[in-house]
Order: sequence, then C-alpha cells, then structure tokens
Amino acid sequence: MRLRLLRFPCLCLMLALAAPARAALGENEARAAVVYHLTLFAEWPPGSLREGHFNLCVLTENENSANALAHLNGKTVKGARLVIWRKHPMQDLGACQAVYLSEMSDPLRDRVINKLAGLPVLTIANGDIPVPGAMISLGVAGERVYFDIDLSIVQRVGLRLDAKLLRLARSIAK
Amino acid sequence: MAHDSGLTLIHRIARMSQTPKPLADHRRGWDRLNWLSTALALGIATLLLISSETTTLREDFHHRLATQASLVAANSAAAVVFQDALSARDNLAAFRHSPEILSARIFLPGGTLFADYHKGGANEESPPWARLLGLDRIEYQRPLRLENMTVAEIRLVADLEPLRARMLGFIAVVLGAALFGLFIAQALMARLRRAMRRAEDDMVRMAHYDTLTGLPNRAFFETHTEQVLARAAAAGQRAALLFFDLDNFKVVNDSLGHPIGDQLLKAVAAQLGQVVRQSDNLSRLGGDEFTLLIEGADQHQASAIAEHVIQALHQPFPIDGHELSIGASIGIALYPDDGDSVDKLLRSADSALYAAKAAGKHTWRFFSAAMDEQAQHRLVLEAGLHRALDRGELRMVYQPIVDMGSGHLIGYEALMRWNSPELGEVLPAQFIPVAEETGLIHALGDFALRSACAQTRCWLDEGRTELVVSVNVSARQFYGRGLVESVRQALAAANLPPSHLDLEITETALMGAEQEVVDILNDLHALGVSLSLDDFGIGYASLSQLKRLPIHKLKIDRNFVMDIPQDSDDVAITTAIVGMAEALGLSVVAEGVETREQQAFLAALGCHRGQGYLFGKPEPAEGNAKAL
Repeated sequence: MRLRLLRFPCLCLMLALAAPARAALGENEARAAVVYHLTLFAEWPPGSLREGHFNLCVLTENENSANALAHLNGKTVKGARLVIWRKHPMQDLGACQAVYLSEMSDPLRDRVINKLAGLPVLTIANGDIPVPGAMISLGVAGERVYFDIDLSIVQRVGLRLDAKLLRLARSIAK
Repeated sequence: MAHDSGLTLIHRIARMSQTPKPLADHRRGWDRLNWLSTALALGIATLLLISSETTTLREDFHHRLATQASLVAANSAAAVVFQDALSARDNLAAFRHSPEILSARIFLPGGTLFADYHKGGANEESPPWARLLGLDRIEYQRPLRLENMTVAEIRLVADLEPLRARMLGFIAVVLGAALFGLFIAQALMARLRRAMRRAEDDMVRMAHYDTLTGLPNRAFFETHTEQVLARAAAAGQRAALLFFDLDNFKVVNDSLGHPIGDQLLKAVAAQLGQVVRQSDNLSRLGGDEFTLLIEGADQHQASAIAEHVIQALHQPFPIDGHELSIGASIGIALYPDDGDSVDKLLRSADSALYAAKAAGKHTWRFFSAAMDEQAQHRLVLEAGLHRALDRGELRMVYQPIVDMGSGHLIGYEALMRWNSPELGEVLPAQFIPVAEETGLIHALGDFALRSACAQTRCWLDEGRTELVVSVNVSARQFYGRGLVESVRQALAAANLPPSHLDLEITETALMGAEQEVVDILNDLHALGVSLSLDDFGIGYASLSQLKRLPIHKLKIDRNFVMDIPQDSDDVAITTAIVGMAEALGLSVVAEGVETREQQAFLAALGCHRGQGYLFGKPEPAEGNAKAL
C-alpha cells in the first residue's frame, strides 16, 4: 500500500478555492458523483455487461444517500443507460454490474462482499480506511472524497481499472 | 531604264539596315524589358510558392496542436472528474516537451480555471512583422468530453516561432532558387543577344555586299564613292568611274536559265578580281552591271584599264559544259568633268556605256555631252514605240524569196517598218532591241503574225497558192506569253492553212535549247507551220541541236554570201553549210544575193533558194503585187 498523504491537503485546498460550486454539494451527492465517475473508468470482462442497461445496485440504510444516487438514473455508462437499483442485503445481486455499499453494519457488509466474491461485479464501499474485500473504498476528508483501491480483488474477477484512475487513488493495494 | 527601280529598292533596303544607332538603343530597351519580365515572373512564382507553403505549414502546425491537445485531454479526463487539479497540472506539464506551447489551461464548465501550465523562462516577444502577418501565435481550444458530456475545456496558446523559422528557411531557399534562375536566364539571354547581334551584323554585311559574287553592292558603292569624291575634291584630284555590263548576259540568262547566269556572274567577278588593282573599288550594282572606281586616274589611265577589262572578259567562260563568250562594253565618266556627284557620275557613265554598246559592243567610250542627247533620243524612241501600235505607225513589208534555178517566186520574208511622225523612218535594228527590253516585243510579234497571215490569205485568194510567207520571231517571244497560241490565233483569224506560214528563229533563241524551247518548237511543228533557222553560221547552233529539233530550213547569213565566190573562206563555209543541210534533209535559203554571179555559184552548189536585192527589195504588199 502506498499513501499519497502529501497530495491530499493540496487537493482539498485547490478544490475549496477553485470549485466552490462543487463544494456546496452535500456529502451524499459528492459520494454519488464519485461512484458514477468510478464506473466510467472501469472495464468489465467481455459478456458481463448487459446490452442497453448498466445496473448499479445500492445497499444503504441512509435514505439521503439512496436519493442522491437515485438522481443518477438515466445517465450513461459505457454507452449504456444507467439504472439504479435499491437492494436489500439478502437479495440476489447477480444482475448488478456494480454494487455500492453505503451505511450498513460490518457483519452484514461482509456477508454481501463474501456473496459477491469471484463475480465480475465492481464493489464500492464507504470506509475512511480501506474496507476489507471491497475493490474501492470511499472516504471523506472535509469536503473532499478520496478513494483506496484493492487491485488484487479487481484483477481476480477479471475487471480492469483505467491507469488514470489508479493515479488518482489515495492508496492502491496489490 | 527598267532595272533602275529594282536597284533603287535594294538601295533603300540597304540604307535602312545601315542605321545602327537607333537599333542599339532599341536593343538595350528590349534587354531591360526582358530582364524585368523575367524578374517579375520569378517574383510572382516565389510569392505564390511562399504563400502556398505558409498555408501548408500553418495547417500542419494546427494539426499537431490538435493532436497534442486531444492527448492531454484524454489524459486529464479522470483528473477533472475526480477534481484532482494537481494531477491535471501534472498532465499539462507534459507540454514542457513542446517548446512551442506557451500556455495550456483547463477550464471547468462555467469558466472556472481548473489547472494551468505556462512555459517557463522569459517569453520572447514575437517580431512586429510576425504580428502584422498573423504569424506570432495561435490559440486552440477543444472540449474535454466524457460519456458525451463536456466536463471541461482545454485551451492552448502556441508560439508560431518554429513555423516562422521554417518559413524563413523556405523563403531563403526559394529566393536563392529564383536568383539562380534569374542568373541562368540572364546568361541564356546574353547568349541569345550575342547570336542576335551576329545575325544583325550579318544583315549589315549583306546590306553592303552582293551575296552572289561577294563584291560590294550598290549601297556600299554609293557610300564609298561619296567618300572618294570628297577626298578627290579636297585634294584637287580626278577620279574615273567605269560602268560596264556583259554584252550577251541577257541571252545566256534567258536561254540557259538563271543558275547558269549566276555561275557566269561569279566567274566574271572572279576574273575581274584578278585584273583590277586592290585599291580600285569593284562593285556589282545588280544584274550584269558592274562598276570600277579608280582614284586619281586620268583619261589615259582610265582607257588603259577599260581595255584591260575588255580583254579579260573577252575569253570564253567554261560554265557547266558550255563555252560562254560574253564580252563587255564599258562607259567611262571622269570626276569632276562629267559629274560632281555619285548620281551624276553614274548617269554619265551609263550614257557612255549605251554609246559603247551602240558602237558595236566589246568596246569602251568616254562620256560626252552628245551622249546625253542620245540617251534622250532612246527615251523618245521608247515612248514613241508605246504609241506606234495604237496609232498604226507600224506596217509590214515583204521581200521576195525565189527559186534560183527557175527564177520563180516561191515566197516572201515579212519585215516590219516603223514610220514615226516625230522620228521619221526607224530601222528595226533600232527599235526591236527597245521593244525586247520593254516587253513590247510580244505585241509587235502578234502584229507581225496577224498582218503577214492576213496578207498571205489575200495572195491565196488571188490564186497565188504556192506562196509561203516567213515571219521573224524574236528570242524574247519564246519566254513569257504563249507564242504557240499567238500563232494559232493569227492563222485562225486569217483562215490561213498553216503550211503557208514559216517562222524564222534566230540561233540565240535556240542557245542551249532548253526543254521549254524544244517543247514550243515541237508544238509549232505540230501546228503545221514550218521553221527556219535565221542568220545561220554566225551564232551558236550546233549540229546535234539541228538534228533533234523540228527545223526545216536554214538561211545562210548575208555575211557569207556577200564575198563569194571571191573569198575562199566564205566559199568553204557556204559549201559546208549546203552540204550539211543536204545531208540532214533541210532546205537552204541564201540571204543577201545581189549578183548573177552569186546566184549561179549558189545554184551550182545546190542552194536552190535565194533572197536579196537581185530578186527584189522589201516592199509593201501592193508594190509586190504590182511587180508581178
């Protein structure tokens, strides 16, 4: 794991100065935007994307977070229409291309992650420190969202992340 | 004189090409114009090349900029959406490898600056000419898109310095090439100019020298003579002008053709070149006319040189298988006695030349004031002859031809007479040469043929059916207009059977017997008229010609008949002619028979026909009719 702590305060400062409009958004909206942009820089193994739709499944107990994500409905990912699904942890997640695990208990989260292990599903979880088993963990410092990547899990299921994304990660575990 | 107008024209042309100064100015003007037009053409080509190259270079540059911008845009997309301005700046910093990029900036939608790059170091100001031409810098912007959404815009400002450097290099090369081209063109033009100058010099030489003989021509002669006369005037000296022409040149030219005539002129010029002194100016004025200008010569020297020239031209010239005896007549005019200008001197010499010719050719004469009157007389003759036909001043007389054995009249020779109200009776020897020179001979010949045919018709109608009338045909009538047609028309107009007409041709008409003449003779023969060879024995006719030409009769010249039987030479010649004619199957007519002795001698020789005062003078037709 490599930390890029030095860059962090600079980024925050610049963001605060140069993009005040963005900064005005709430934390949930910021996270939602990041989740969406992450899907744009990932590559799925051939055949795992359904034609016409990109299913992003959201597991959260926070209604605000769910609403913020619901706003992304209808955007495009890889040329496909983005569809946001609100899912219960017990539900089948096999049709999802990406799963976002927001506020939920650790055991429940682990169960979901375990259930998805080995599937070509991009797993994004909230966590100021990297969430074990999740491919990408989102943390917040001030108004700035950062992310850690566990590249070994990504590569194991045949997913690929754009090098430009990797360059922006706070840490990458290989 | 007929040839004068032609010579004057040549003279004028020569004069025109003798004006080199305006020619040189003209030449320089053209040189300058040539140079300017070449430079202008090269200048335009250079400008077009440069502007075309500028456009191409600009497009290339723009294309490179677009490529760089799109690369940086693709690399910066993630940094933009994840708000990583530092990373975006890192991406932009890649432009430090492109020294022409002055600045690169990424703006978020709404115009917020997200990241920027500025080229380090002091930015040199572009030169003013570059700003003026829009060649200082170029701006380029392109949107940065992700999933069909514009997430930012990238703006580049590039310095056109590399483009300017390439442009200047290109201009240097093109200008160099253009200057080299101009140099080459100049060199070529200079060569061309030299060639033109040579051609012009040749023209000037041609204007002063006769191309055929290489002798100075009339233009040179006049200029030179003016100078000589001026010198003579200043020194109180005399000068002699010899003006001469070749006695038989016209005949050679007419009968043997111009190529032979030209060769003869060359040979004559070469011969003259050997006999005249280097200091004397020998020129050919045109045709067969030559001049010799002798500085400081008096009457005695001039006549000695004239005699010398006549002797030199007296020998026959062997040309193309012919032995051509031509001879020359010379007129001499002295400066200042006979003329104080070139023109006057030449006119006087011309009059003297005419006098020399009238005196029997092969001789020379000094100019005398009386000659001007003779020349005047000749002009009057010429003018009168023009009117003579219309006024009916010409008439035909007929001299009997008899059978010397029986004394019977067998025919007449028709002869022309001119009774001019101004000049009185003019002899054919005087007016026929004038008619031949002026071309009136054709009209005169027609008149003779028609009159003789009409008269013969009258005699036939009177029952004198045995008569044959001879009509003289000039050598000149064989050239130009149709002699055969003229004879046919005369016969038809008089309704005369052709067997009653005989045509007498002089030997000179047969000289060389060119195919053209042979054809005419054959046509006349085919027409049914008989042909006689006049004045036989004094000229050039050869036996081989006699054999292949349709000649029926020979007329022995009076010079041979005159002194027989006393002169043994004439007797021998006449005997030979009669014998030869007999062998060839030709009949013979003796001319100039004046005594019974001659008649008896000739008849005994076998020459049965005769003509002369013994049998009758040439008389008008009425007189002849009465005599019988």
